[in-house]
Amino acid sequence: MVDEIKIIDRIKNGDRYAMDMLIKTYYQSVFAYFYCHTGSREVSMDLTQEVFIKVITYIEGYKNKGRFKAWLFTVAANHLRNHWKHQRVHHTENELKGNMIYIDSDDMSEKLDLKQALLRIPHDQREPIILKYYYGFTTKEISEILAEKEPTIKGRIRYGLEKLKKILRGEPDGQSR
Amino acid sequence: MDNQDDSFISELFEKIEIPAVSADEIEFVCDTAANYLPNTQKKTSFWEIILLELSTVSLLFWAICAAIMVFSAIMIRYASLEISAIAVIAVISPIPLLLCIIELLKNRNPAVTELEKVCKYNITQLYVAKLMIGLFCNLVFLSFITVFAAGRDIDVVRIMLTGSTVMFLLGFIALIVTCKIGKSLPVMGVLAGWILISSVFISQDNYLVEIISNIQLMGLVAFFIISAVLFSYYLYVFAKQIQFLRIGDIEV
Repeated sequence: MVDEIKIIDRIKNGDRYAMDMLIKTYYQSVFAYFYCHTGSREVSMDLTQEVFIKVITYIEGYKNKGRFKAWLFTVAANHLRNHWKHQRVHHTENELKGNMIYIDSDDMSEKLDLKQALLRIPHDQREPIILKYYYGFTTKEISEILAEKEPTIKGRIRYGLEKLKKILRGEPDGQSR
Repeated sequence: MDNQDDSFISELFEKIEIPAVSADEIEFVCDTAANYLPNTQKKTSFWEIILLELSTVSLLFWAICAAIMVFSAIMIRYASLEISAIAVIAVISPIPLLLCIIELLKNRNPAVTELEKVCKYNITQLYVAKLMIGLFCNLVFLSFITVFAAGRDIDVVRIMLTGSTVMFLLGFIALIVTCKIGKSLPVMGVLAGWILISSVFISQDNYLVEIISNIQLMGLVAFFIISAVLFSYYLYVFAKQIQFLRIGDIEV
């Protein structure tokens, strides 16, 4: 944490080496975040680059309050929202058309691709689930990242997980069965 | 969802396959981001930014300010004594500053924001410079009208204080709207609303003008100081927020 603050201070002073370190540390995490949402390597790489440009551009405004990672994901979450807005894409419908997944067992199966199941739940439920289970953020941190109230986030996670469970059990989009 | 399911989901997440990104690809991102490092921006003095901004203020803005100034001066100087100079100054005094804020917001779109990232100057300084120009222009505007009004045996100090107080107060409200909403339309609403309401009040009833005229000079000074402090405080808040302000479709 202290090292991170030092690195950020050095970046604020224009230290290229510190910036490289920061980007290399968090690149894969941010890329994975976008990949879980878009399912596309190219789009995720573009979004990741844009997020790091934003972070470096606005790094002087970062006040070392709370975890840097949470701030980074706040920028990433806002960027993703802008991306959807600009693309006018309803990812759950368009990206997964004809890509239905079924499994025979009543139990959840590890064979099923969770990434594809995730893409079939609504974006506002998918986002907190990814932040909680993939990145280990607390509900409070997620509520700050997504600028939503904590009970709202808890509700979205609960409903999202229920849908996810149904999809993983083989009920398409958790609607039937 | 019980703990067993919770841990099952966590385990599934650990098994998600994320495509690898090569070191060269990450290096390319580093090279691109390096162009945006804070002190790769050239250190430019605030006065240089003000001069730069002065050269980019639209002709329409200057033309509107000049037209309002001449019109107001003629109104005060040559109209019959039924028109109160204080009423005229109260109505028109915030207009140049509000026009400046509207111009500032209207020019800030996603394409401009992208360009700003590679600018050789600090974005916060740039927007504060724009507002300072508006403020200075407004003060010149008020001084000019006051000089014209002086010929009508009117208390020059009183008219200047009234105009400046209204300017700072409306500027303060416009900055609150800018910080909260970040769009030019509500600021236009503030401007239009002020002109409409103040015109109606002042044209129908001289009661308000009489109240202003009867306020002790020290009282006017106090109002002026309060409004100037409120405006300055919100200018500071605005300057701090501008980089993270959601304006139009932009969200950082």
